[in-house]
Amino acid sequence: MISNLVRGLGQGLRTKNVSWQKVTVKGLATLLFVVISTQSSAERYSPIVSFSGRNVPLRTVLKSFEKQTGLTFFYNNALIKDLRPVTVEFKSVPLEEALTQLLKNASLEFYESGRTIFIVKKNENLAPSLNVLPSTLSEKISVEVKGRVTNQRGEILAGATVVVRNTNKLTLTDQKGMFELKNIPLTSTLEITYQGYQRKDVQASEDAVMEIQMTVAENKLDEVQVIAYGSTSARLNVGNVTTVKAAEIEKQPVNNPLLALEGQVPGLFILQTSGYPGTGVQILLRGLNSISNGITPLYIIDGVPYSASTAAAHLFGESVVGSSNDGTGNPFDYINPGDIESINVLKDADATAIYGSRGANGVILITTKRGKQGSTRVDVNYQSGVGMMAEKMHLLTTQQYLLMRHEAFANDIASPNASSDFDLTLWDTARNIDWQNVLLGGKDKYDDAQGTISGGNENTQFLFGAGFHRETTVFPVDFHDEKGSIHFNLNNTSSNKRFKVSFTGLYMVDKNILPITDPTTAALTLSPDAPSLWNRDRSINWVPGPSGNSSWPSGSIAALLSGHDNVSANNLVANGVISYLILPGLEIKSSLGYTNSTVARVIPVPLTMVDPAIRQKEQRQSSFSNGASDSWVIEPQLVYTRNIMGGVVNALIGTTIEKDDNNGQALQGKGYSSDEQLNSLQAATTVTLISTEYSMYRYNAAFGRLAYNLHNKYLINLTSRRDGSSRFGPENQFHDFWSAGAGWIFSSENFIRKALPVLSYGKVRASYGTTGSDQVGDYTFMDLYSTISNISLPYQGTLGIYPTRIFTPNLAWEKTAKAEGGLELGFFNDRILLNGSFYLNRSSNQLIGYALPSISGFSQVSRNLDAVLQNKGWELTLQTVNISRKAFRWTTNLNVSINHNKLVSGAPGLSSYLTEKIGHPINVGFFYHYLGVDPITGVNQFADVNGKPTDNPNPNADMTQIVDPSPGYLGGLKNTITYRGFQLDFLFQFVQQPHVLSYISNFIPGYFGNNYGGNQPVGVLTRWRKPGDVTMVPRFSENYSLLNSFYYGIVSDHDFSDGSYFRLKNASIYWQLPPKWRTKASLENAKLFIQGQNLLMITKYKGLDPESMTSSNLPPLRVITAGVVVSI
Amino acid sequence: MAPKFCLRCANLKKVKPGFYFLLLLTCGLFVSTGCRKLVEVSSPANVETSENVYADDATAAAVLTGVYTHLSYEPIMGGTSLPCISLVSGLSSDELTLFGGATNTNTLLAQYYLDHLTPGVSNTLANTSPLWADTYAEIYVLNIALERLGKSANLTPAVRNQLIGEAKFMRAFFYFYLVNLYGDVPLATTSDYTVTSSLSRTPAAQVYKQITMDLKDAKPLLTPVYVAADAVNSSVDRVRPNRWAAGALLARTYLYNKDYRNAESEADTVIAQSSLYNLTSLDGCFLKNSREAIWQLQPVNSNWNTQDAQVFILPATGPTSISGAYNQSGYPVYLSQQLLGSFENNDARRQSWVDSVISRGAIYYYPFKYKSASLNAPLTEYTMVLRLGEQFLIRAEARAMSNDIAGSQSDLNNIRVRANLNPIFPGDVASLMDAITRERQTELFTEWGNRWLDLKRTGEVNTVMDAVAVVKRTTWRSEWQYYPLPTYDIVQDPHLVQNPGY
Repeated sequence: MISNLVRGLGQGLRTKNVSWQKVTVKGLATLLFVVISTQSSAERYSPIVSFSGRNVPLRTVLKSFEKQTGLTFFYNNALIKDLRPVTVEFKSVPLEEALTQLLKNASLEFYESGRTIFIVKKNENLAPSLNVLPSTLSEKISVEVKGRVTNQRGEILAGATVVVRNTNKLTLTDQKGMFELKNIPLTSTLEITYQGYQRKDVQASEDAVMEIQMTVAENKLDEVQVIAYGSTSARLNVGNVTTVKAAEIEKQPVNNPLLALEGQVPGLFILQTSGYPGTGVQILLRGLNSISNGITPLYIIDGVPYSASTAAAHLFGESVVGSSNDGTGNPFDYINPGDIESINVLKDADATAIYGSRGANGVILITTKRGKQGSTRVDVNYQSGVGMMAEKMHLLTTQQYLLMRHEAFANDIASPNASSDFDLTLWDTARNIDWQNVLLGGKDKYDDAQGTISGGNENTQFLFGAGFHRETTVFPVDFHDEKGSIHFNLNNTSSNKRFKVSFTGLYMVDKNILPITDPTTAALTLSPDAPSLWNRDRSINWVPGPSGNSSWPSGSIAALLSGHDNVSANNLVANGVISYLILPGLEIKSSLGYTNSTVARVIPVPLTMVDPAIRQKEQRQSSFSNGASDSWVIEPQLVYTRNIMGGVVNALIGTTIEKDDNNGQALQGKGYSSDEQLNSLQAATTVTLISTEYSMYRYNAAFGRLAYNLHNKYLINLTSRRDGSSRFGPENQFHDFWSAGAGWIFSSENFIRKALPVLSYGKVRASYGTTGSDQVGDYTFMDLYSTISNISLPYQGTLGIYPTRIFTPNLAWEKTAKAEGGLELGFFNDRILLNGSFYLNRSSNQLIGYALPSISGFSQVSRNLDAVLQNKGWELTLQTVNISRKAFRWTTNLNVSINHNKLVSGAPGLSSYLTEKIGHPINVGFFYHYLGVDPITGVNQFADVNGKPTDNPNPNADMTQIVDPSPGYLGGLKNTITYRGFQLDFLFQFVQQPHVLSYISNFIPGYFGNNYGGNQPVGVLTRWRKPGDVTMVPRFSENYSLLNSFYYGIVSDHDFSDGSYFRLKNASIYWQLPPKWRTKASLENAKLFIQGQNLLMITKYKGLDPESMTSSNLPPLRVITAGVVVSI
Repeated sequence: MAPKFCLRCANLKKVKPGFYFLLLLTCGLFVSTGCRKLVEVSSPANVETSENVYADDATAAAVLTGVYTHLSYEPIMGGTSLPCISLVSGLSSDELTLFGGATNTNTLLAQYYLDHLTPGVSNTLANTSPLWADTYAEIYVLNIALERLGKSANLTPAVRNQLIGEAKFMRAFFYFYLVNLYGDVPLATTSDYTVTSSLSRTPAAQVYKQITMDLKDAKPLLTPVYVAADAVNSSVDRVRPNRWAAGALLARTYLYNKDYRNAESEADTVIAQSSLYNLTSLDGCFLKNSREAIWQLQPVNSNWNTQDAQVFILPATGPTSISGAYNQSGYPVYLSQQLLGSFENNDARRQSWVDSVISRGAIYYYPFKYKSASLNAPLTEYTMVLRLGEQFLIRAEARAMSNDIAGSQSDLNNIRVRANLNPIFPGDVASLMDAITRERQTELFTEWGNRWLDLKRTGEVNTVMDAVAVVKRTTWRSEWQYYPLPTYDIVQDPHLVQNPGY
């Protein structure tokens, strides 16, 4: 038997070694002995296999097992080829059991060695006589093998690593996927690895050229993970990167791809600031790194840096969707989520230091979809649905409202005034309107259609995609956001596989028509007896008061809703990559990127928006603003991959040259003769230039990385970058950043394998390095001169100029040193994956306005101070495959992260406000301590500095209560269940934030006329009514006598409450049409689905939404859509 | 191996253009990394960088124009710019009465009036050292201008000289007032904030040395004629300092330092420029481009003439108590009895330069040197900073102290005669000096703090102020002749020490 086997193995070797036979026989037998004894000494985990068939060749069954288990089956063809076909029925049987049963009649037996199953003829007599060690065998018998590595589609995999197991020999495949190994032991197992593919172990064979086909990795560890200037896999990555794939993004009905990351990325805090289409998004990775400067991560789309703020269109102030740092919405509103293949969030020094001065706040790499080799394919995805307010507040009904108002008058010994208390004197007190229903209760219509055509051959692949998205709002007037986008990608490889060119472009046109004022505040504060907004003929109901002026306290809401803020945006992101393989392993390439973004806004104010009573004094006006930004970047790189000393070295050097331009202007037109002309500037009789903006940014860097991977066990990664930025003065224009990271896949060590067989994967990793931040604004260091404005009679007919800030040539980078340690574990064949990280980031050299004595000419100078801001935290992810059967699969993915921010130390020159925060998180605030209502007077009471109650606290001394509004821990819990054609996903998001600003009351309870009326949350009914009442709500009052008291309340700890929440962020059900139907319709793929966003929430938050934490903005909506995905 | 190698060569040839393009690009870019050019940016379109500013005649001149504009623009009521000295030091001394005195709701002016100044805590709020921060801010501009002008090779030499002269003159001008108002002051002669933020106070004598040096440097650099905004073409407006302005200020500086010989000679030179300067009629003195003017400031608010007129000239309703330090309207001051009492009978200045209103049964006198205080009146008056009349009085004093009695009498009488007073001939230095002092009081009242500065330099301050304090219903302490430094500066710069008495 073994002789047969040996003959089979050795056929090609005969010419080289004539005396091999005996040795081999002995060697193999020893191997057999050793392996068997090992096997019996340790309980091995046996993979489960299934197979059923009648009269199938044994070979087919074995092939199937090979596929199911990922193991390699090794046997001599001659041994089984004449065997009779078998009839078997295995249903989730351990492999061992299946094989035993399968082979017992054929006088064959098997043993396992490493990840190979050897099948040999039964022969008990031979084994004991074998006593030659396998090493001797390998020394004596060596062969030369050649092979070609491809994937399932037949695409060549160049650069795949081929390792000869248990030796230091390895090689890489060339551009044609070929490899060649000489002098390797005859019985060697070759381990072939390639990023994004499952490892393949094959027996070395001399027979012609080995054809090795790799299978795309389905497991999380081996999927391709995009990193800075390259890619890797989670298994081999030394840094901390979280990947979110298209499949997860597509399940969420969001219009901004960043929103799809909510709850999915540990350490990433995302805040949707409002529920408008094209909304503002704030993003914070691992805490605040800067005291007073930018904190947004670096965004890179297909290698092109993408601006974190929209083009200068905020010149007329923010639109209603604006958020505090983004001006008008968020630039990712202009990226179609459907075009994205993956989003990778880079966090630690190892992952981000190569981005040097821009990596301190993390890096978000976005990769768009690319064409793939294969026949032309059409994918269509259409969905339609509705969005609505998820949560409403409990407000007073008219009955309760009137009770409050009358009690307020009684308390103040006053009676309603006909010229101001319209809610009691003019409006119909029999009305009881739920204004949240009227103003925010509409249905947002949501439509989204995506289509792509892709395909290509070995040398050229293409993709063309188009998307359309339309969304309205929940308001009673038609506002909408319409987006059209196209996406294309073209890749070409020369026939010798050396020259490659790739071109990608994303283009979007967005027209967003928004209200000029968010009616949410009105919905919460309008008195419930307020009159209807419109008359029967849909004209604005002005409801004139006794003086003839409208009685709406802050203007007619109908008029506000009739105003439009028209935002039109165009956004282009294009990039090209050309590369050439100079020598095997040495590639030169260059990426060229260009982005262009324009945003234009028109805000007309027609006379119809003005109260008719004062219309004759007003004139029509229209505001126009436009901003444009464009940037280009060139990044030539040299990449070198080689095997050195038994490991693979990957070296990269490159340089970046970037230039950004921003400009914008705001104009105002007046003197229009009709409301119809307001969209044009030409029709205005006077045009005033309100402001202009211009800035330029230039950036130049050189970077390098040296990675070494020994045996896929020991990993070392060094990166460095030298950065130059125009944002810094000549003395500090350049700076160096670096990082070092190392990983040890200890599960690949034999002793660990033996000691911990349940552990299928284990890695420890650590990294340390420096990054920086240059988000300090352009021109900060320059001594710029501005023209003296407001001079109506220029001095000597000339406008003088003056320096606007002090010259600070030594302004330098904020630095963040990041340290991270991680432990990654996989159990039971990676069915349980656990990933824990601990990080400590310290940001120093903070750029802060530093107080100067006035004798220096300016009271402040931007200066780097030694203040140190620290972020320390834990991140934990747990991925489990709970059930994995053929028809039923259930996986869970949990992530939790905690970040602690602290201002560790200050420096002389730090303002006293910041000095007080030393030892605390940087975003703590100082507030009065609220002591409830004085039981005698019914007025708010606060603790003074000595803890004594006072109703008139001292702002300089008594604000002693420290409140930290930052979240404690946050995370997400995601479950995916597939059952036959169905797939159910649901994602819970949780945030623990015990102290966030809440909505306690609208102004002074009992007062009418602040905001849009006087309505209050029902909570005010627990107010103080008579001496002795102990409560947290002061007595009702209809005048300003409690004004100060009210304002002290706003800056006390009373207005902070628990804003923790647990939300069903997303759920989706997909149903794959049965194969029969699909075949009939010749569809490759056809699914029907229902998706929902923000479906359920558990929270104690007082207010509309604990995420947006505001009561003046529309909160994020609940969106439910249904749709279909079809591929042809 | 050989065939393979050939294959490689063949491949290389096939893709030559792309390959070489990339190679070239890469090499070129690697070489260029770290090149400053790649990270240099031009300035935003709406502003200029200092490099550009000082490379061009027009923009370089506009920097100095900016300094004059600021001086002229900043409101003087509760203001922060030097011209408010006419108001505040008039209140500190014995020239002006604050309506309501201590009860005036403008607490800032009340502090000046009662000579009870509280050091301001913040530099941003108008405080009791309002001149300090803004004056040093202008000194910063002049320092950086001098540094850049000194290095700039692109400017027309004539322009460059004139501008350096103007900047030195202005720096001297500001320090002259600082040293007189605050005593020893930190002497910032650089724009480098690392130096200036830790300066200590420089002895007054050394500050004067710098002032003298700057003025002596400025004189030959400045043109003898008046120039336009381009700093080279001549102009009828006397709103940029020329050589004689530097001489006039130098004469005053020497006088204050009791260097009578130099004071006389500098004043001599200025007075000798009769083609430019004469003593005008009293009514014509403060008009724009008056022949008496050595340096004026042009108003920059197109609807108004001078700010002094707006503050001093009382409406028919009389003076008012105004609220809030920032309130620029209101009429809180009128002329004091001491000042009115110092006019001799028949002094034409009492008629021409003083006017009155009767309100609430009382008569209020107010300075009427500037006469146009109504909105939209044609622009007829400029703010006088340096004028010939003072030069006569400087020379009179210098000559008296050098025992040139006759020369002194002649200068003094030039001023008296213009005021329609009889010439006088005091025979000894002491009585001559008495006459000159009184003449300065009535000639230069409410002009740039002359009276307040005179009281201090002559040592009369305690005697005079003790008496005035009784009228003001306040107390006087000798230390209060110097205003306090802003507390803000003392906090930020630990080397600075507050003036005694605060």
